[in-house]
Amino acid sequence: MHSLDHLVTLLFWLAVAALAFGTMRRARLWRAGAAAPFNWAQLLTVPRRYLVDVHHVVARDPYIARTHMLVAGGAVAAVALVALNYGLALYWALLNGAIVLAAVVMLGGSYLVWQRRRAPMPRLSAGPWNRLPYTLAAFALGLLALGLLPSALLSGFFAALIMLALLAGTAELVLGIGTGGPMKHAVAGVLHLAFHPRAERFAMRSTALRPLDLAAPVLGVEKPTDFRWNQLLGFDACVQCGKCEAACPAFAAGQPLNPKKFIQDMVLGLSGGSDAQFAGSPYPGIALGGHSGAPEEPILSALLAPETLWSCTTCRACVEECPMQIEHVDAIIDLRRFQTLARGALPGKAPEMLGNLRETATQGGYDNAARYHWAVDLNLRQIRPGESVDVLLLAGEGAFDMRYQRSLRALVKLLQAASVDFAILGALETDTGDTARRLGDEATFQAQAAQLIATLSAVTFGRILTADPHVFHSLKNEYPALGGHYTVLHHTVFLAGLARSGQLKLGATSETRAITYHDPCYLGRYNGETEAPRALLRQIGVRLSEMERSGLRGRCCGGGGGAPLTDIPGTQRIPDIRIADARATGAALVAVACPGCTAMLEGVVGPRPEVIDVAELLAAALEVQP
Amino acid sequence: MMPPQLKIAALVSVGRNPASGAPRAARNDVLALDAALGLAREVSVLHAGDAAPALHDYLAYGAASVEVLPLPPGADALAPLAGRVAGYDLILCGQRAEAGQGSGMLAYRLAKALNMPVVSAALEISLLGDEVEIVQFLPKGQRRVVRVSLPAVIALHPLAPRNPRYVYASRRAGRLLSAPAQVGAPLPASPWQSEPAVKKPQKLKPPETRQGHARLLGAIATESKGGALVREGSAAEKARAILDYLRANRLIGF
Repeated sequence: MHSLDHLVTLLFWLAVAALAFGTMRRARLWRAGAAAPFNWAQLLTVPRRYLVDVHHVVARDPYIARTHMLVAGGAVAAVALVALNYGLALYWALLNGAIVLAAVVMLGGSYLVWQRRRAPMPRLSAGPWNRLPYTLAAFALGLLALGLLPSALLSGFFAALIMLALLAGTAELVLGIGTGGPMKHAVAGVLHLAFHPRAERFAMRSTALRPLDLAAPVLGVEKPTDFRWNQLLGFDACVQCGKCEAACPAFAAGQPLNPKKFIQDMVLGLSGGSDAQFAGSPYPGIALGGHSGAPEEPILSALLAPETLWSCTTCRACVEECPMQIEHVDAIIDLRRFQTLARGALPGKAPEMLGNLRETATQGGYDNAARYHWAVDLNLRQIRPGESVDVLLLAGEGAFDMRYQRSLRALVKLLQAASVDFAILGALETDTGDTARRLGDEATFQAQAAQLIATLSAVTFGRILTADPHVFHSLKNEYPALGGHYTVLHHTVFLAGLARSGQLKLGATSETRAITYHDPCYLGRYNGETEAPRALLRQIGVRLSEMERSGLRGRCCGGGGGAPLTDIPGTQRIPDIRIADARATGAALVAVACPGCTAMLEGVVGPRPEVIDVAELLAAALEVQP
Repeated sequence: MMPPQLKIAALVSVGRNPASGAPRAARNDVLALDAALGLAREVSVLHAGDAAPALHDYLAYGAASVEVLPLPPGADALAPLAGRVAGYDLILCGQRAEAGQGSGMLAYRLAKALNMPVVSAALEISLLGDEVEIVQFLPKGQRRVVRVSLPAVIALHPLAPRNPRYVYASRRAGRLLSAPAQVGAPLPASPWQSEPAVKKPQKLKPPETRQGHARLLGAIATESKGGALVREGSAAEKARAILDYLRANRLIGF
């Protein structure tokens, strides 16, 4: 037995102690957060969540998927073998051979990390992350030498060199969690997967916001410690890969928001410090070094500028892209709730809209009796309390928009052509309160929801049909928590069903221009519905030219989350970027399925593709024109 | 800095949303409340009338409590308000109520009853010792600065540049306080009568299509402006002629 082996054993146990100490230290920061359910058994869910859910996201970039598999797989295998052979002081030559294999795999992965970091894309963070290929390689090389060379033959100098390499690698691996280094993600990531604040997302598409107790002493989040502890843990899982940054429409438009920086700012909040050391892209237009936070200090405006908070369109593109399954939008809404409910500090036209909702149950302050003026000549049946109908049509706020009324009329034409038994609520219809909720005004949302639920419970219907994905999402996913349980259908899904069953007879479209389809976030990402509108368009003979960002990864139009109301300036407008996406496909026509998207995309000035709702294209292709 | 003993009252009423008619905090009174809160931490917020739910909106806009002086329906709010605010240094209110008579007279009558000066159309108010300086609204963008000694009644202009914040937490924390019932005098008889509004018919006029030179000639000539006199034919044919004319001149859209 050589003394080098004993040194490695010593190093191993020292490392275990350092890791345990560091984890406890970090856990103390997380535990300062608000209460959340906790159960050790949730740790058992980690392998499945890691291998299925995390892999599903990471695999979109095969290079980094392979890289991580090699590095992390090699490292885990090597560490496990070292634990066996050196930790338990077995010192078997056979296990040394296995360590060599694992180290070779890890070294290969480290090479790929190095390749990636030679010319990093702008979304990646530099700083401590740039040393990672070297420390990882040092660890792998140390293990390789340890396993390959019989320790008895080593000179003292060479043994010292091996120990130095192992020391450097081990320090990187185990000190990260305690000091906030890059390898913090390994520990925090595993725990985050186990104790995820939105555990439902591993079973199904989960996008509903959680209801806020309006009697709670603190409404929303003011200080970092107002976050639930597992949200704080989630922030620590961030690997700063910047995929959220690359997907964020507000960042692309030069608005002062960067989801990656936002999460890192929340990390600063829980651990304390200034953002001067942040090694990634700053919020556009806000220089680094001006913000700092502490666990018991208000987040706004010392740590986070209000403009950053109100730039978010809640499109969830960042959440969709995040390999670590971090919930950016939930954190944004928690912060907004405090700003709105406890401070009343909303920018732009948002306060006016919320006042309108409270007083008229419409966002624009309209007379509710005018909601169905567009349908005055369509002989629609207006349901009265006590009556029943199969399909109840809710128009939403788009009913007051003269442009969107054309889409609604097209939808009615299709329903009548398919002889659907449907009715409207007419002047009884009130707003769902969805936009109020995105702006953090949970009080107004819950009041609006109670009003609409009371109206809906006075009539009998089979299904609710709406052309507005925001109404759809709100009723389908968020009303159940408030006691409203309905079968809700978006018009594209409902019409696709009618077309499939032959009840709706569609001919071929006369449209000869190239067409692309823009996925509304609240239909696609929020509800996973990307196929129905495409199936309908295929059926009328449209050959879609897809935009680069489409389906679940579609780019926001800029109209979500109350962003048109808060109207935070950037260097360009989000809808302009989206129309540029459409132009790049050569499309002369953008098919849409949301009143918000219609309004945003039609607001683009200059020559641009025409913006037409799917329902309008279908109505023009009806086999028998009524 | 102002002396701490300054007593400020804000008078608030129940307004109504013009589109839905829903009761709400009157916009103008919200500005008065906000201005009062800008001058002092403690403000007595007073309402003469019923303890209506809409008064909770004033709590959201920053009132710690709203004191309700009960008033029989149709009674004049002057006497109970004048009795309550006697001894106050500054009394702020909106210029005109959104519901009820909305005569805009309250500030004047209150000032007369309390023998105080009154300033209306106030945009900005600043305290200068025992005086207040007021920027007053005048039409066409003009402004006037006036000074008045305390105590005084000041009516806020609806365009006062303030940014009141609706805060749910302070609505939740605030309370409506009811004062003992008062017997108010009946309102002075109103010289106004109410009747339903009648939409007046609008004269449709064809757009001018002639060029400048022709229009100039038309202005100095007295000849007819065109059109046709239809004397012959059935009522349907005459109606058709009118319809054709309206369509030709794009006066109707169908």
